Amino acid sequence: MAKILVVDDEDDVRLVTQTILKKAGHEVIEAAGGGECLKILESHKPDMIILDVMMPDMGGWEVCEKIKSNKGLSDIPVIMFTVMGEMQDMRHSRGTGADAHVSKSFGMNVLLKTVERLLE
Amino acid sequence: MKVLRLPEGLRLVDFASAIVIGSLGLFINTMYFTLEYLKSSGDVLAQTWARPVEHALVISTVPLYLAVGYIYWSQKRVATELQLANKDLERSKNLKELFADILRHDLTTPLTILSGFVDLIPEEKLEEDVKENFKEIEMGIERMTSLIEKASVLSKIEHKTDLEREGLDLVQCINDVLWMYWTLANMKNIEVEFENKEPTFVQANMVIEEVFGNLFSNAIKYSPENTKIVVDIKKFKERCRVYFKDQGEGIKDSDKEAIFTRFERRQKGPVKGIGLGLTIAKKIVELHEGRIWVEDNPSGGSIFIVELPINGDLPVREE
Repeated sequence: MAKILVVDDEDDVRLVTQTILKKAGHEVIEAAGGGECLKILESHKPDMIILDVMMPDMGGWEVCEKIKSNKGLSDIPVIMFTVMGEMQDMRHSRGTGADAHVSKSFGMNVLLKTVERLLE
Repeated sequence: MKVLRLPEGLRLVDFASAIVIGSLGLFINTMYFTLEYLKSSGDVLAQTWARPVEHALVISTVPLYLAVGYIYWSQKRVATELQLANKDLERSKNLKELFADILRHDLTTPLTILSGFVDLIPEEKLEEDVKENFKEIEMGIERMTSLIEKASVLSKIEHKTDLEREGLDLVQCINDVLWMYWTLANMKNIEVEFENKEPTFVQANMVIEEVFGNLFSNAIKYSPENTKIVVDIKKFKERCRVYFKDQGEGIKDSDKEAIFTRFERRQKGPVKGIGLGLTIAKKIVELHEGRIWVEDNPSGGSIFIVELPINGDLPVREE
Protein backbone atom coordinates (compact mmCIF):
# COMPACT_ATOMS: atom_id res chain seq x y z
CA MET A 1 0.00 0.00 0.00
CA ALA A 2 1.34 3.42 -0.91
CA LYS A 3 0.42 6.98 0.01
CA ILE A 4 -0.41 8.83 -3.22
CA LEU A 5 -1.02 12.54 -3.67
CA VAL A 6 -3.54 13.24 -6.44
CA VAL A 7 -3.42 16.79 -7.81
CA ASP A 8 -6.16 17.91 -10.22
CA ASP A 9 -8.38 20.98 -10.36
CA GLU A 10 -11.35 18.89 -11.56
CA ASP A 11 -13.25 17.51 -8.53
CA ASP A 12 -14.67 14.57 -10.48
CA VAL A 13 -11.27 13.52 -11.83
CA ARG A 14 -9.93 13.50 -8.26
CA LEU A 15 -12.97 11.54 -7.12
CA VAL A 16 -12.66 8.81 -9.74
CA THR A 17 -8.85 8.63 -9.42
CA GLN A 18 -8.94 8.29 -5.65
CA THR A 19 -11.76 5.73 -5.83
CA ILE A 20 -9.73 3.55 -8.19
CA LEU A 21 -6.51 3.96 -6.17
CA LYS A 22 -8.27 3.21 -2.88
CA LYS A 23 -9.87 0.14 -4.44
CA ALA A 24 -6.35 -1.00 -5.35
CA GLY A 25 -5.38 -0.60 -1.69
CA HIS A 26 -3.62 2.77 -1.70
CA GLU A 27 -4.02 5.70 0.63
CA VAL A 28 -4.90 8.95 -1.17
CA ILE A 29 -4.32 12.61 -0.34
CA GLU A 30 -5.92 15.22 -2.58
CA ALA A 31 -4.93 18.67 -3.77
CA ALA A 32 -7.04 20.90 -6.02
CA GLY A 33 -4.13 22.83 -7.50
CA GLY A 34 -0.37 23.24 -7.82
CA GLY A 35 -0.10 25.65 -4.90
CA GLU A 36 -2.03 23.36 -2.58
CA CYS A 37 0.16 20.45 -3.68
CA LEU A 38 3.36 22.29 -2.72
CA LYS A 39 1.76 23.32 0.59
CA ILE A 40 0.93 19.68 1.39
CA LEU A 41 4.47 18.61 0.49
CA GLU A 42 5.80 20.89 3.25
CA SER A 43 4.29 18.58 5.84
CA HIS A 44 3.78 15.25 4.03
CA LYS A 45 6.02 13.05 1.95
CA PRO A 46 3.86 10.81 -0.24
CA ASP A 47 5.21 7.73 -2.04
CA MET A 48 3.96 9.07 -5.36
CA ILE A 49 2.38 12.14 -6.93
CA ILE A 50 -0.17 12.13 -9.76
CA LEU A 51 -0.20 15.58 -11.34
CA ASP A 52 -2.55 17.23 -13.81
CA VAL A 53 -0.84 19.67 -16.22
CA MET A 54 -3.43 22.37 -16.87
CA MET A 55 -4.40 23.93 -13.56
CA PRO A 56 -5.38 27.54 -12.96
CA ASP A 57 -3.09 28.52 -10.09
CA MET A 58 0.12 26.71 -11.02
CA GLY A 59 0.60 24.28 -13.93
CA GLY A 60 1.68 20.69 -13.33
CA TRP A 61 4.95 21.08 -15.24
CA GLU A 62 6.02 23.96 -13.01
CA VAL A 63 5.05 21.97 -9.90
CA CYS A 64 7.01 18.96 -11.17
CA GLU A 65 10.13 21.10 -11.76
CA LYS A 66 9.89 22.43 -8.21
CA ILE A 67 9.52 18.93 -6.78
CA LYS A 68 12.39 17.48 -8.81
CA SER A 69 14.72 20.37 -7.93
CA ASN A 70 14.04 19.94 -4.20
CA LYS A 71 16.53 17.44 -2.73
CA GLY A 72 14.08 16.30 -0.09
CA LEU A 73 11.33 15.53 -2.62
CA SER A 74 13.12 14.66 -5.86
CA ASP A 75 13.00 10.91 -5.21
CA ILE A 76 9.16 10.87 -5.20
CA PRO A 77 7.92 9.38 -8.50
CA VAL A 78 5.72 11.84 -10.41
CA ILE A 79 3.14 10.80 -13.01
CA MET A 80 1.77 13.52 -15.26
CA PHE A 81 -1.89 12.61 -15.83
CA THR A 82 -3.28 14.98 -18.42
CA VAL A 83 -5.52 15.48 -21.44
CA MET A 84 -2.40 16.70 -23.24
CA GLY A 85 -1.55 13.52 -25.07
CA GLU A 86 0.69 14.68 -27.92
CA MET A 87 4.31 13.61 -28.14
CA GLN A 88 5.49 17.18 -27.60
CA ASP A 89 3.56 17.23 -24.30
CA MET A 90 5.15 13.97 -23.26
CA ARG A 91 8.59 15.38 -24.14
CA HIS A 92 7.81 18.42 -22.01
CA SER A 93 6.85 16.19 -19.07
CA ARG A 94 10.06 14.23 -19.47
CA GLY A 95 12.02 17.47 -19.56
CA THR A 96 10.60 18.55 -16.20
CA GLY A 97 11.79 15.29 -14.64
CA ALA A 98 8.46 13.45 -14.50
CA ASP A 99 8.75 9.68 -14.24
CA ALA A 100 5.82 8.94 -16.53
CA HIS A 101 3.31 10.74 -18.72
CA VAL A 102 -0.14 9.19 -18.98
CA SER A 103 -2.67 10.73 -21.32
CA LYS A 104 -6.16 10.81 -19.78
CA SER A 105 -7.36 9.31 -23.04
CA PHE A 106 -5.49 6.10 -22.11
CA GLY A 107 -7.96 5.57 -19.26
CA MET A 108 -7.74 4.77 -15.58
CA ASN A 109 -6.47 1.22 -16.03
CA VAL A 110 -3.32 2.51 -17.71
CA LEU A 111 -2.85 5.01 -14.90
CA LEU A 112 -3.21 2.26 -12.31
CA LYS A 113 -0.77 0.03 -14.16
CA THR A 114 1.74 2.89 -14.34
CA VAL A 115 1.35 3.49 -10.60
CA GLU A 116 2.06 -0.20 -9.92
CA ARG A 117 5.09 -0.20 -12.24
CA LEU A 118 6.65 2.84 -10.59
CA LEU A 119 6.02 1.48 -7.10
CA GLU A 120 7.75 -1.82 -7.86
CA MET B 1 -13.38 34.19 -46.56
CA LYS B 2 -11.82 35.91 -49.59
CA VAL B 3 -8.10 35.30 -49.70
CA LEU B 4 -5.89 37.26 -52.06
CA ARG B 5 -2.71 35.66 -53.21
CA LEU B 6 0.22 37.91 -54.05
CA PRO B 7 1.21 36.37 -57.41
CA GLU B 8 -2.33 36.67 -58.82
CA GLY B 9 -2.82 40.26 -57.65
CA LEU B 10 0.52 41.36 -58.99
CA ARG B 11 0.19 39.51 -62.29
CA LEU B 12 -2.91 41.59 -63.17
CA VAL B 13 -1.22 44.86 -62.28
CA ASP B 14 1.99 43.86 -64.07
CA PHE B 15 0.08 43.05 -67.25
CA ALA B 16 -1.73 46.40 -67.25
CA SER B 17 1.50 48.24 -66.51
CA ALA B 18 3.33 46.53 -69.38
CA ILE B 19 0.66 47.66 -71.88
CA VAL B 20 0.36 51.24 -70.60
CA ILE B 21 4.10 51.91 -70.15
CA GLY B 22 4.98 50.14 -73.38
CA SER B 23 2.44 52.17 -75.42
CA LEU B 24 3.45 55.47 -73.85
CA GLY B 25 7.13 54.66 -74.25
CA LEU B 26 6.62 53.88 -77.95
CA PHE B 27 4.65 57.09 -78.45
CA ILE B 28 7.28 59.26 -76.74
CA ASN B 29 10.08 57.57 -78.65
CA THR B 30 8.35 58.23 -81.98
CA MET B 31 7.76 61.85 -81.04
CA TYR B 32 11.39 62.29 -80.00
CA PHE B 33 12.75 61.01 -83.30
CA THR B 34 10.22 63.16 -85.19
CA LEU B 35 11.41 66.21 -83.24
CA GLU B 36 15.07 65.46 -83.99
CA TYR B 37 14.26 65.01 -87.66
CA LEU B 38 12.36 68.32 -87.85
CA LYS B 39 15.17 70.20 -86.08
CA SER B 40 17.82 68.85 -88.44
CA SER B 41 15.81 69.12 -91.68
CA GLY B 42 16.19 72.88 -92.05
CA ASP B 43 12.80 73.07 -93.70
CA VAL B 44 11.03 76.24 -92.56
CA LEU B 45 7.61 74.65 -92.47
CA ALA B 46 9.01 71.71 -90.56
CA GLN B 47 10.78 74.06 -88.12
CA THR B 48 7.41 75.62 -87.28
CA TRP B 49 6.15 72.15 -86.32
CA ALA B 50 9.11 71.47 -83.99
CA ARG B 51 7.77 73.49 -81.08
CA PRO B 52 4.26 71.93 -80.95
CA VAL B 53 5.87 68.49 -81.22
CA GLU B 54 8.17 69.40 -78.34
CA HIS B 55 5.13 70.47 -76.30
CA ALA B 56 3.32 67.26 -77.19
CA LEU B 57 6.35 65.31 -76.01
CA VAL B 58 6.39 67.07 -72.65
CA ILE B 59 2.63 66.65 -72.25
CA SER B 60 2.84 62.96 -73.14
CA THR B 61 5.14 62.31 -70.21
CA VAL B 62 2.35 63.40 -67.82
CA PRO B 63 0.14 60.32 -68.43
CA LEU B 64 3.28 58.20 -68.23
CA TYR B 65 3.99 59.51 -64.72
CA LEU B 66 0.30 59.14 -63.87
CA ALA B 67 0.33 55.55 -65.14
CA VAL B 68 3.44 54.70 -63.15
CA GLY B 69 1.90 56.36 -60.08
CA TYR B 70 -1.35 54.46 -60.55
CA ILE B 71 0.49 51.16 -60.93
CA TYR B 72 2.53 51.86 -57.79
CA TRP B 73 -0.66 52.73 -55.89
CA SER B 74 -2.41 49.58 -57.22
CA GLN B 75 0.45 47.40 -56.11
CA LYS B 76 0.45 48.99 -52.66
CA ARG B 77 -3.31 48.46 -52.44
CA VAL B 78 -3.02 44.80 -53.45
CA ALA B 79 -0.20 44.31 -50.94
CA THR B 80 -2.25 45.94 -48.16
CA GLU B 81 -5.33 43.87 -48.98
CA LEU B 82 -3.14 40.80 -49.06
CA GLN B 83 -1.66 41.63 -45.66
CA LEU B 84 -5.13 42.14 -44.18
CA ALA B 85 -6.39 38.90 -45.73
CA ASN B 86 -3.36 37.02 -44.41
CA LYS B 87 -3.90 38.46 -40.93
CA ASP B 88 -7.54 37.33 -41.10
CA LEU B 89 -6.42 33.88 -42.17
CA GLU B 90 -3.82 33.66 -39.41
CA ARG B 91 -6.38 34.77 -36.83
CA SER B 92 -8.81 32.19 -38.13
CA LYS B 93 -6.15 29.43 -37.94
CA ASN B 94 -5.22 30.44 -34.39
CA LEU B 95 -8.88 30.46 -33.37
CA LYS B 96 -9.33 27.01 -34.90
CA GLU B 97 -6.33 25.67 -32.97
CA LEU B 98 -7.54 27.30 -29.76
CA PHE B 99 -11.01 25.87 -30.30
CA ALA B 100 -9.52 22.41 -30.88
CA ASP B 101 -7.49 22.70 -27.66
CA ILE B 102 -10.54 23.80 -25.66
CA LEU B 103 -12.57 20.97 -27.15
CA ARG B 104 -9.84 18.49 -26.32
CA HIS B 105 -9.64 19.62 -22.70
CA ASP B 106 -13.34 20.11 -22.03
CA LEU B 107 -14.45 16.93 -23.76
CA THR B 108 -11.64 14.60 -22.72
CA THR B 109 -11.99 15.38 -19.01
CA PRO B 110 -15.65 14.25 -18.67
CA LEU B 111 -14.87 11.23 -20.86
CA THR B 112 -12.01 10.31 -18.49
CA ILE B 113 -14.39 10.54 -15.54
CA LEU B 114 -17.02 8.50 -17.34
CA SER B 115 -14.48 5.89 -18.38
CA GLY B 116 -13.11 5.72 -14.82
CA PHE B 117 -16.51 5.05 -13.29
CA VAL B 118 -17.34 2.47 -15.97
CA ASP B 119 -14.05 0.71 -15.08
CA LEU B 120 -15.15 0.67 -11.43
CA ILE B 121 -18.27 -1.35 -12.12
CA PRO B 122 -17.45 -4.96 -11.18
CA GLU B 123 -17.86 -7.02 -14.35
CA GLU B 124 -18.61 -10.22 -12.47
CA LYS B 125 -21.73 -8.70 -10.95
CA LEU B 126 -23.23 -7.83 -14.35
CA GLU B 127 -25.77 -9.92 -16.23
CA GLU B 128 -24.47 -11.29 -19.55
CA ASP B 129 -26.57 -8.98 -21.75
CA VAL B 130 -25.67 -5.94 -19.62
CA LYS B 131 -22.00 -6.89 -19.92
CA GLU B 132 -22.27 -6.54 -23.70
CA ASN B 133 -23.89 -3.12 -23.30
CA PHE B 134 -21.05 -2.00 -21.05
CA LYS B 135 -18.48 -3.11 -23.62
CA GLU B 136 -20.28 -0.94 -26.18
CA ILE B 137 -20.16 2.01 -23.76
CA GLU B 138 -16.42 1.47 -23.18
CA MET B 139 -15.73 1.27 -26.91
CA GLY B 140 -17.81 4.39 -27.53
CA ILE B 141 -15.83 6.33 -24.93
CA GLU B 142 -12.53 5.12 -26.42
CA ARG B 143 -13.55 6.10 -29.93
CA MET B 144 -14.73 9.55 -28.84
CA THR B 145 -11.54 10.16 -26.88
CA SER B 146 -9.40 9.03 -29.79
CA LEU B 147 -11.37 11.19 -32.25
CA ILE B 148 -11.00 14.30 -30.09
CA GLU B 149 -7.27 13.72 -29.66
CA LYS B 150 -6.60 13.08 -33.35
CA ALA B 151 -8.85 15.91 -34.54
CA SER B 152 -6.89 18.26 -32.32
CA VAL B 153 -3.59 17.25 -33.96
CA LEU B 154 -5.12 17.34 -37.46
CA SER B 155 -6.46 20.86 -36.94
CA LYS B 156 -2.91 22.01 -36.23
CA ILE B 157 -1.28 20.53 -39.31
CA GLU B 158 -3.92 20.24 -42.04
CA HIS B 159 -3.51 23.83 -43.27
CA LYS B 160 0.27 23.67 -43.31
CA THR B 161 2.15 23.49 -46.59
CA ASP B 162 5.62 23.60 -45.09
CA LEU B 163 7.25 22.82 -41.76
CA GLU B 164 10.23 24.33 -40.03
CA ARG B 165 12.91 21.68 -39.64
CA GLU B 166 15.88 21.08 -37.42
CA GLY B 167 18.37 18.29 -36.84
CA LEU B 168 16.40 15.56 -35.07
CA ASP B 169 17.80 12.34 -33.65
CA LEU B 170 15.43 9.55 -34.69
CA VAL B 171 16.81 7.22 -32.00
CA GLN B 172 15.89 9.78 -29.33
CA CYS B 173 12.43 10.21 -30.90
CA ILE B 174 11.78 6.47 -30.79
CA ASN B 175 13.02 6.24 -27.21
CA ASP B 176 10.55 9.02 -26.28
CA VAL B 177 7.75 7.10 -27.95
CA LEU B 178 8.67 3.87 -26.15
CA TRP B 179 8.79 5.76 -22.83
CA MET B 180 5.30 7.17 -23.46
CA TYR B 181 3.70 3.87 -24.44
CA TRP B 182 5.63 1.49 -22.17
CA THR B 183 2.65 0.82 -19.89
CA LEU B 184 0.27 0.12 -22.79
CA ALA B 185 2.67 -2.45 -24.24
CA ASN B 186 3.29 -3.94 -20.81
CA MET B 187 -0.44 -4.39 -20.15
CA LYS B 188 -0.60 -6.76 -23.14
CA ASN B 189 2.70 -8.36 -22.22
CA ILE B 190 4.14 -7.25 -25.56
CA GLU B 191 7.89 -7.46 -25.90
CA VAL B 192 9.39 -4.39 -27.56
CA GLU B 193 12.69 -4.65 -29.41
CA PHE B 194 14.61 -1.52 -30.39
CA GLU B 195 18.33 -2.05 -30.71
CA ASN B 196 19.50 1.14 -32.44
CA LYS B 197 21.86 3.09 -30.19
CA GLU B 198 23.85 5.38 -32.50
CA PRO B 199 22.21 8.81 -32.97
CA THR B 200 20.63 9.08 -36.43
CA PHE B 201 19.92 12.65 -37.44
CA VAL B 202 17.46 13.86 -40.07
CA GLN B 203 16.19 17.35 -40.89
CA ALA B 204 12.65 17.20 -39.52
CA ASN B 205 10.04 18.96 -37.46
CA MET B 206 9.28 17.69 -33.96
CA VAL B 207 5.77 16.86 -35.12
CA ILE B 208 7.23 13.77 -36.81
CA GLU B 209 7.15 12.19 -33.32
CA GLU B 210 3.34 12.13 -33.62
CA VAL B 211 3.77 9.79 -36.59
CA PHE B 212 6.02 7.41 -34.65
CA GLY B 213 3.72 7.60 -31.62
CA ASN B 214 0.73 6.79 -33.78
CA LEU B 215 2.40 3.85 -35.53
CA PHE B 216 3.71 2.40 -32.27
CA SER B 217 0.37 2.75 -30.45
CA ASN B 218 -1.38 1.18 -33.47
CA ALA B 219 1.08 -1.72 -33.34
CA ILE B 220 0.17 -2.23 -29.66
CA LYS B 221 -3.56 -1.94 -30.35
CA TYR B 222 -3.58 -4.46 -33.17
CA SER B 223 -1.13 -6.95 -31.62
CA PRO B 224 -2.40 -9.93 -29.67
CA GLU B 225 -1.10 -10.43 -26.15
CA ASN B 226 2.34 -12.01 -25.63
CA THR B 227 3.68 -10.98 -29.04
CA LYS B 228 6.61 -8.86 -30.11
CA ILE B 229 6.95 -5.43 -31.74
CA VAL B 230 10.23 -4.60 -33.44
CA VAL B 231 11.20 -1.00 -34.11
CA ASP B 232 14.18 -0.45 -36.35
CA ILE B 233 15.95 2.44 -38.08
CA LYS B 234 17.97 1.96 -41.24
CA LYS B 235 20.08 4.62 -42.84
CA PHE B 236 20.57 4.79 -46.62
CA LYS B 237 22.64 7.21 -48.66
CA GLU B 238 20.20 10.12 -48.69
CA ARG B 239 17.33 8.83 -46.59
CA CYS B 240 16.32 7.00 -43.45
CA ARG B 241 13.67 4.41 -42.84
CA VAL B 242 11.89 3.69 -39.58
CA TYR B 243 10.16 0.30 -39.36
CA PHE B 244 7.37 -0.77 -36.99
CA LYS B 245 6.89 -4.53 -37.22
CA ASP B 246 3.98 -6.13 -35.39
CA GLN B 247 2.61 -9.65 -35.20
CA GLY B 248 -1.06 -8.73 -35.53
CA GLU B 249 -3.53 -9.98 -38.12
CA GLY B 250 -1.94 -7.99 -40.92
CA ILE B 251 -3.65 -5.80 -43.52
CA LYS B 252 -5.34 -7.00 -46.70
CA ASP B 253 -3.74 -5.84 -49.95
CA SER B 254 -6.97 -4.06 -50.87
CA ASP B 255 -6.80 -1.97 -47.66
CA LYS B 256 -3.14 -1.04 -47.79
CA GLU B 257 -3.76 2.38 -49.33
CA ALA B 258 -7.23 3.02 -47.93
CA ILE B 259 -6.03 2.96 -44.31
CA PHE B 260 -4.19 6.23 -44.93
CA THR B 261 -7.41 7.93 -46.02
CA ARG B 262 -9.54 9.82 -43.54
CA PHE B 263 -12.22 7.76 -41.76
CA GLU B 264 -11.23 4.46 -43.36
CA ARG B 265 -10.54 1.68 -40.90
CA ARG B 266 -9.19 -1.72 -41.57
CA GLN B 267 -11.56 -3.73 -39.40
CA LYS B 268 -14.41 -3.49 -36.99
CA GLY B 269 -13.96 -5.05 -33.62
CA PRO B 270 -12.83 -4.41 -30.08
CA VAL B 271 -10.03 -2.02 -31.01
CA LYS B 272 -10.03 1.73 -30.92
CA GLY B 273 -9.17 4.05 -33.75
CA ILE B 274 -11.24 5.66 -36.46
CA GLY B 275 -8.64 6.07 -39.13
CA LEU B 276 -7.69 9.71 -38.49
CA GLY B 277 -4.32 8.74 -37.02
CA LEU B 278 -2.87 7.35 -40.23
CA THR B 279 -4.31 10.25 -42.26
CA ILE B 280 -2.45 12.61 -39.96
CA ALA B 281 0.69 10.49 -40.16
CA LYS B 282 0.59 10.55 -43.97
CA LYS B 283 0.06 14.31 -44.04
CA ILE B 284 3.00 14.90 -41.67
CA VAL B 285 5.32 12.56 -43.58
CA GLU B 286 4.40 14.19 -46.91
CA LEU B 287 5.14 17.61 -45.44
CA HIS B 288 8.67 16.24 -44.94
CA GLU B 289 8.80 15.04 -48.59
CA GLY B 290 8.80 11.52 -47.23
CA ARG B 291 6.73 8.39 -47.77
CA ILE B 292 4.71 6.11 -45.53
CA TRP B 293 3.37 2.70 -46.47
CA VAL B 294 2.60 -0.74 -45.11
CA GLU B 295 3.96 -4.15 -46.08
CA ASP B 296 3.31 -7.68 -44.89
CA ASN B 297 5.56 -8.92 -42.12
CA PRO B 298 7.06 -12.24 -43.31
CA SER B 299 6.64 -13.60 -39.77
CA GLY B 300 2.95 -12.53 -39.68
CA GLY B 301 1.45 -9.09 -39.10
CA SER B 302 2.39 -5.79 -40.69
CA ILE B 303 5.39 -3.57 -41.17
CA PHE B 304 4.69 0.16 -41.29
CA ILE B 305 7.55 2.04 -42.90
CA VAL B 306 8.31 5.76 -42.77
CA GLU B 307 10.95 7.01 -45.17
CA LEU B 308 12.41 10.48 -44.67
CA PRO B 309 15.07 12.41 -46.53
CA ILE B 310 18.12 12.89 -44.29
CA ASN B 311 18.58 16.39 -45.66
CA GLY B 312 15.15 18.03 -45.68
CA ASP B 313 15.72 19.56 -49.11
CA LEU B 314 16.19 16.25 -50.87
CA PRO B 315 13.01 14.53 -52.01
CA VAL B 316 12.70 10.81 -51.37
CA ARG B 317 13.45 8.73 -54.45
CA GLU B 318 11.49 5.70 -55.48
CA GLU B 319 13.35 2.41 -55.13
